[in-house]
Amino acid sequence: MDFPSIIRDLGESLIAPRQVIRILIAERRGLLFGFFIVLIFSIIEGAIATLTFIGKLATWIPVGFIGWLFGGLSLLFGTTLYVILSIGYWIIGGLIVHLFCKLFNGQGLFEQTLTAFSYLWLPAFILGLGAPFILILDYITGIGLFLLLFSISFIWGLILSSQAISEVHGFGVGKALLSVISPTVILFIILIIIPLGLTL
Amino acid sequence: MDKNLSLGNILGILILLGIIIGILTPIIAFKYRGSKTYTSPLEWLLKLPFINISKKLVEKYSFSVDEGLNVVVYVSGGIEITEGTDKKVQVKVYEYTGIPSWIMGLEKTYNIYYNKTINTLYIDVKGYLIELKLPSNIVHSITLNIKGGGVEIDTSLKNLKEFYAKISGGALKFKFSNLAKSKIDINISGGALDGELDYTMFKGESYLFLSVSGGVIDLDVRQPRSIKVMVEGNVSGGIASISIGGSHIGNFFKDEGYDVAEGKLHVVYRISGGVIDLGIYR
Repeated sequence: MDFPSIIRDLGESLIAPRQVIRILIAERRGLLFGFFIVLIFSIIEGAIATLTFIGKLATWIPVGFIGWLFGGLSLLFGTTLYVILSIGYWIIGGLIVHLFCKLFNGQGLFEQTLTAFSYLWLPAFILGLGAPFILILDYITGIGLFLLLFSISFIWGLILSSQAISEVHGFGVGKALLSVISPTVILFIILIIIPLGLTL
Repeated sequence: MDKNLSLGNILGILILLGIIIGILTPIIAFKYRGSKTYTSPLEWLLKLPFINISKKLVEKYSFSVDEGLNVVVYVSGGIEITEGTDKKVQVKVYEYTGIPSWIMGLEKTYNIYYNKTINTLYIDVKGYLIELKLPSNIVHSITLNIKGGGVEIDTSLKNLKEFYAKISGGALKFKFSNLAKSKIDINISGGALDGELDYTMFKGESYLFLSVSGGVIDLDVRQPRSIKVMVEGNVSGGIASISIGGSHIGNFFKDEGYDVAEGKLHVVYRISGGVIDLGIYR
């Protein structure tokens, strides 16, 4: 049975991210591969998140315009917004990761950082596999399962991405992990800590 | 191309499956979602192709009833009311199989009986789905108390004179046609209602009371032009969208000649939360 190389690359990225990123960089298709991962998995995450958090509520509102507003439009806008935010996070977050990597004397290029950083989205395939279960469960349990799978996917993505960054920049996994979580920490400070501090 | 079925290829296929399922599931879920009121919050799941949930018949009843039947329903499960044959009421009780009890709720009861002396059918259901076939032309009144789940009335109920609905959760969908002089009283503090009332020409005054302290009412009223309308509203919270012939009105409206008209429809609404979307067409 013949398998397209993309399937092998995707699968082996989960068990040998260092090896795959070396191949991707050598074959100069890392950026396209990274963009494909971010785009596809952000569509999946966005659509499932919108249906889980908002779409389920709309199902039980039998009022034409409200059902339409929360149902059809929310799926379209929710998914589109999530994709735009994800690509924005990939590029701007990737820039922050790259800056931290340079602070740690990393050797890689920005393009390679972006490829390695895109691994953060790869384990979101478990959300895709879990989607039927998330969407058949009642509202609260559905949200619970979504958050559980999202957290697993995020932690798994951090591990893969850290390994790939470590390979690209030629330093240890510890420094790579610090670099990879830096955009999340900065985002957390901007969105949670500063508003909380201002309100107190 | 790689010809070996390595671990990488297996994981790659798994990722591909995740992509396919992750894209198809929201599309299928959205397609089957609609803005329909389902007889039970889980009813729509039965329609999804990848769900193996079925409903099993538990018990069925048949009652010979008289004209002027009263129906009293307490529901926190689901009821679907459809057209029945002459003077025969048929009730079927279903339970869902394939759904864990922690999803459906642990308490499941049903109690159905017909009191011939006062010509009243009582249905009290929790956690079950009821299919009720009513002869539409002999029902005099319906009283609904919905605390969860849903009620769908898919029969015209041509001689209905009184309809009381108290909704504190769940959903109600109905369409009554050929309504004559009648009293409709809907009280909603949660959940949702989607209804249509089609009036025929009648003499006297019909009443439509709507009280909302939470949840949503979407109601369309159609009536002959000769029936005059008076609308009185009291808004202390929430959103009220009341229109006659597509034009929005304020808290008070009275047709010219209402006081001397042969047929009158008196609408009173009170809203302290939630949404009323009432459209009167003629």
